[in-house]
Amino acid sequence: MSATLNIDGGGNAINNLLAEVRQLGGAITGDEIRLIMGAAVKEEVQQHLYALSNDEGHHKTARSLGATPTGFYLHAADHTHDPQLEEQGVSVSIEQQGLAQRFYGGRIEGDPLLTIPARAEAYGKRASEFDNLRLIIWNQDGAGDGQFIGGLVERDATVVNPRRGGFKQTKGRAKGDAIGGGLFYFLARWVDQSADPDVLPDEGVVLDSALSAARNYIDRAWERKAA
Amino acid sequence: MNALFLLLMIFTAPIEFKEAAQSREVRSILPTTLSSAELEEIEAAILERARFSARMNNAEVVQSFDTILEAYDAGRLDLATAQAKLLQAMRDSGIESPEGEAGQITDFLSTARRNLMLTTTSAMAAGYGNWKYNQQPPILDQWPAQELFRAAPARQPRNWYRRWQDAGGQLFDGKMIALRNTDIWTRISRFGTPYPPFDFGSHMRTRLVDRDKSVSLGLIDRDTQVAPQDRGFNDDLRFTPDVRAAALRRVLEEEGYRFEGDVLTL
Repeated sequence: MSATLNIDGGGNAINNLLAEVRQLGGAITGDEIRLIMGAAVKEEVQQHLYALSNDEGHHKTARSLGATPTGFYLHAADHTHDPQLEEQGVSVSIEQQGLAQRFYGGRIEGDPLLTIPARAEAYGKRASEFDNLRLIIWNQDGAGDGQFIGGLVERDATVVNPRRGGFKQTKGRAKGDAIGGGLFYFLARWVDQSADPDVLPDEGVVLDSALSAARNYIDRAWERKAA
Repeated sequence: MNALFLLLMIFTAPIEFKEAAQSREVRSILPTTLSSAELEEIEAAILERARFSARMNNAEVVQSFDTILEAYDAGRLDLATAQAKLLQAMRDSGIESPEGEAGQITDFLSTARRNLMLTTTSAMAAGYGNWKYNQQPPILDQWPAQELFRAAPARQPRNWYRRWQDAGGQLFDGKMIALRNTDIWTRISRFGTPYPPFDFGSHMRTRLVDRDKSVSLGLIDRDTQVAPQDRGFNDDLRFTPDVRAAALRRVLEEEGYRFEGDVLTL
């Protein structure tokens, strides 16, 4: 699922710029202006996402678990599409599952259940990666409409051959230590995600960047023509 | 094409060593991600992994990796799901963790290794695409320079300022900025490519610097044009510094393999 930012509010401004291009008598073209605006939009979107990637406030879950962020916004920025140039605007799409969900927010339904990481080792991983988890159900009859119905916990075991550099859950454990019981995932029927319009840059800011770059490009064309 | 496929190539037929050593696939199995100690482990472990992978059903894993990577790049899979699917594909093909190395970077099944395979390959393809788009002459005219910056925190950040300056880069108020098509960008890159990522697992990226700013920094004047570059994704394979090819060759020779000219013999 991708998120798309449409910049189409600058009709008059764009028309004025294109009219000015015609006055330059072929020194530059309208297509160049559209290209410059598109590149400015793409750059603005990418840099916005890179900024989120560096922003602690957008990695609350990872931080709260003591986990390393998965690089969600970094990947989204890297995979921002080239802009689509249209007559009166520009659109930029970002190929990143979950970005639109974060933008709009809303309920995510499990099919049948969602696994919500409960500790650092589980963050950024699917439960299927672990072969030592067991299911616990808090509400045995499954009745009711509670959001959380159980969890996946580490099976009881005894360490027989601890290794350095292995999975984190084995670190610091000596041979003979009992392990197990730690909660890895909550099982939820659904989660409600708040909308976060900040995951995409403000359209006005993006439009200003695009118009500013185009203005700058045209001004330079005038200067070169006069020189 | 990916790391596993490269290993298959090495161990199923003689190949031109230079070709193999300079390929993107080899780079993804060559050192460098978490720490220098771990990188050394990878170097030493290349052949063991290769022998191991030669016994598995590589074709299936290669196909799976490509499918998973394509879905991840296209935003149809998140990283966690992509990693889980890759793990399943490798398990289905009979791959097991090497004795005593489970969970380590040298283990194909480890989270760190699968993460490295997916994120580096994906970021490199995206880096190339962005670089290619920005090579259009009007864009080069408007933004003739770019800045190297950290786009995400790193657990063990490399000293990019030193690397930048060692490669001949200048700092402007502490910022690493240079004209876009100068060779500083290939010099700082472990892969010899002018676009990010510039190293395994690196979160360093670039941002465009417009002409007015570039002129004020003394990098360029108002009218000089930066010549666009054109290179295919695979062209970059020829830009790998010889020293890395030599390093791999040394490792292979130390492990008992011989070369006839540039051809690895089995």
